Amino acid sequence: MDSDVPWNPLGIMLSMYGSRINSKLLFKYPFKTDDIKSSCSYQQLTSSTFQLNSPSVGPNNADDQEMESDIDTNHSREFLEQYLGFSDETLGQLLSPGNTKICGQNFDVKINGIRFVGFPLVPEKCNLDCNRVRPLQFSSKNLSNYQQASNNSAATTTILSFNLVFVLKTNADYSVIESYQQLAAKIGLALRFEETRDNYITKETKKMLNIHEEYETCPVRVHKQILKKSKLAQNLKGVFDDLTATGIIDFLLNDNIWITFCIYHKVHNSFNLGGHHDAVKIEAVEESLSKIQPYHGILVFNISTVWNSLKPASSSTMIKFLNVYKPTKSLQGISTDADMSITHTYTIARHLVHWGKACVIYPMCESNVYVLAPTATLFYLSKWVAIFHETFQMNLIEVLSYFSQPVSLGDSQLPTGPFFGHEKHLVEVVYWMLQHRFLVQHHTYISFLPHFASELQLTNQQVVNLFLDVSRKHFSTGIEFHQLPDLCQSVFKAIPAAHNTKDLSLFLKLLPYMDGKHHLEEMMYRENMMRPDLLTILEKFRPVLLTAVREDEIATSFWMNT
Amino acid sequence: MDPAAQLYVKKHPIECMFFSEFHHKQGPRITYQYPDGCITKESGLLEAVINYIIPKPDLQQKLITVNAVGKKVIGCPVCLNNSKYPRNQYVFNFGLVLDNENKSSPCIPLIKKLSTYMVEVEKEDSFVSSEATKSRIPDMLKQMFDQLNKKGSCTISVNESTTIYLKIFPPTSLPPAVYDHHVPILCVDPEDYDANDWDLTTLQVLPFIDGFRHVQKIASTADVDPELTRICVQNLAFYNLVKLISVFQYTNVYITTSKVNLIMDDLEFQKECLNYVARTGHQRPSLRDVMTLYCGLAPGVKVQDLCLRHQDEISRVNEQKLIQFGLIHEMIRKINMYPVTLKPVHHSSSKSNLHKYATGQFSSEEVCCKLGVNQSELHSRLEQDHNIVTLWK
Repeated sequence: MDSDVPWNPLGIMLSMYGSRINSKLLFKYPFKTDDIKSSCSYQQLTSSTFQLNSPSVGPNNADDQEMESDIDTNHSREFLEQYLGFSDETLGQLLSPGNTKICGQNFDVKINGIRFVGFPLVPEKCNLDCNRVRPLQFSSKNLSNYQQASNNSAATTTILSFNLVFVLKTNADYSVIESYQQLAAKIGLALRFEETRDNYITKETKKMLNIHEEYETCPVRVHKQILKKSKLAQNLKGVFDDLTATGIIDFLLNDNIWITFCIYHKVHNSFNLGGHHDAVKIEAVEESLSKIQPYHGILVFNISTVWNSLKPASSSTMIKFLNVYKPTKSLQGISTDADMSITHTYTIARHLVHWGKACVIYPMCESNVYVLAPTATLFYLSKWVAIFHETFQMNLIEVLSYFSQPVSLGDSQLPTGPFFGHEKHLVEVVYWMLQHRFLVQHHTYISFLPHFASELQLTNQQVVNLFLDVSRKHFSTGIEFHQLPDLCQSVFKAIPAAHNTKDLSLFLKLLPYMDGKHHLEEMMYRENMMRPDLLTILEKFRPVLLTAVREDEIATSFWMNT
Repeated sequence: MDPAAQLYVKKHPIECMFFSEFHHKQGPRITYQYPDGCITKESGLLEAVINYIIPKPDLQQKLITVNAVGKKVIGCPVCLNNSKYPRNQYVFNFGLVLDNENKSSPCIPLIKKLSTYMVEVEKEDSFVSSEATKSRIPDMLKQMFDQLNKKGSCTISVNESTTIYLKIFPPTSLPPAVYDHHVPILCVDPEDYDANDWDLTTLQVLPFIDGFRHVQKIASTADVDPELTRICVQNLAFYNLVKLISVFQYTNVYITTSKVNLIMDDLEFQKECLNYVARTGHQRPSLRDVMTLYCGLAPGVKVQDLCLRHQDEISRVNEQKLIQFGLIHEMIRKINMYPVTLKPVHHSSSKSNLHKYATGQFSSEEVCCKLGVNQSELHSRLEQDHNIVTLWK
């Protein structure tokens, strides 16, 4: 369906370099084109088809392929054919060249428009003696098997290095490559640990090598057989399938080490994006999340799946966080209730957002105003219409039309709104629509802009500073109108409230937030004010203020493409 | 000279050019490199990449990029079989080194071309393998390195009859899709570009790009095929000569973005804006006038409502220019209306072709273009049809 996106891998491979058997590709998945689920009715390719792309490709041909692959994004099948066009021997040479100098660091080689990303490792030195792949000496049942095995080179080869590799398209971003490198390193290091503990790699390698020998005459079936017999191969297939399906990996290696990983690109781009093909940039997500504020809250989409995904070794603060979490609480509130520092709360919130389990919102309350997001899918036959109807027994288009104009949650419960008498329903609907990016919240931003500013050629900051200088001087006593500089007096002349010391002091206190970059909710949080008080003071000074509405940049910027 | 390539290479310089071969006695080696000391044992780069620079036969004749030790090494190893060589074959590779962070694609065409040329001159007169001519390679590497890093392109004469022209191609992004309802607006001074640079169709289209006409109208006014016009506009957009905005209409709805605040912080930008949006022959608008109008833009507020509400300000500000400036600088974005059918109807019962476009995939502008009606006609037709709702996003 979306197999042409750059963050889906083309394949996963395990290769080794041994003392007796040199470079060897142990396992690759997928090994045939029809292993990739694809909707297009492509003719079954025979192995002779691959000969076209096999090693002795002329320079001109290779050039075309390279050029094409660098520009074109919609040829995943061609990519795949090309990757499968490499013979196992070539791949073995390529991935495990037998040079231990490249081990322990990122491996990244691009050939003819196919990128191989991995993390080669040397099994730990102290264990080298045990790495010898021996036949099953102690098993009497397999004695004949042993004799057969002892004649072949697989019997006594020592693993000098191994490499777990992902095959990617060249149009993948640098950040995608980095993620895959991290994943390869994570699995690789876990394998090395298991090797030290349990000779895991050695055992699995032996199985694979034996199958390689057994099916030497019939190479087409080798990988299929390995997949049947080897637990590790099944794990790797599982990793590949998860990466293609959800981007989230969660499996137990050798019944000992949990490996969990998340390809953020996959997760964030699988949300409803209303036909926007601009991929969500992971850098933008990071940047946006780094600006998260204490007054923000988060919306965990499905809290039971989060609970279920927790491992016994999960951080205890995650559990504390989830215990006190509510979509109506701000992060500050969660941090107080869970008795942990705000920075730690941020970390957990970011983690949940990164993994696609939650999104940043302003805590739910009646005064929140929502409107259709530019990312909303409006297509009347989309899958969302069906899902929505199934979940809420309502027509999505009708609800979308209701949210076409900004409405507050409070107003939606009035007798005239469609949700009258269904308050619980309303909240659920809004959660659903926020999760699938049908809605954004609108905030009100205030700018202080007196008439003279443009005439004097001052920036807004300079104007504000003029006022603030005064307020700093008289902070403790309160500011009287006559203490203001003449210029400022002229600005406030027509405003009766400016002559009231209390109002004027309060206004000057709020002035730093009136640069069009802070919304009302932020002012309320920073100055510990109630909404009615804030609205009253703003109303009093309306002639010198401007208000604008738009969405909160921090919560939405990375997916709204505005 | 291509300024884009020059600018690109300045930011992403080539760090080294090298020539590598399989020596019949010494094995694989980096024979020459310029500047010296890039691919060495000490830097760790040599051992990490040598297997890919002079690879086993399977991997020859392929473009190979290796990332290691913070560098990116690009090469295209080639192998020639001939009994004249000591081992009956000769493997060599011309390549270059970049920083790991840089993309390899801009340099790949030149490596490919260089490799093809060197194979030819080797086949012709053993230019690469014979000791006499080989000594000229270091100088070639130096010239390529210097010229490519300076100009983004280079011209190297190999022998009397062969000269190689190489060029770096900076990465480009795909141009935006152009639709009939888009309005192209020039973002450079018309006098800045040379008429000779453009093809005849573009020259025919250019005078009609005024920031008000939409693509369909431009095509009919300029008497150019609509498809060709779209391609022309797309091409201009690709070179950043035009930006695509929407048709100005008094029924349009806009909303501010966070970039609107730039105007309060940046005096230069402020001046540019005030000059642009000023109504000619009237008093110059103040910042507050302009900001009042921009901040007045909100969902549900049509431009006509805004004009009525702020008659004083609008006497000094040209609302069309105001919207144009806002869109060009992304200070505002348009909120589009989408007619959507509430319940799918059967084709037999559909009264109009309006239902064909009321699927939620087409904005009102697109529907107008497709049906050839104006907004108010569309509006009255929508009002009559109770099975269609209007969504704004």
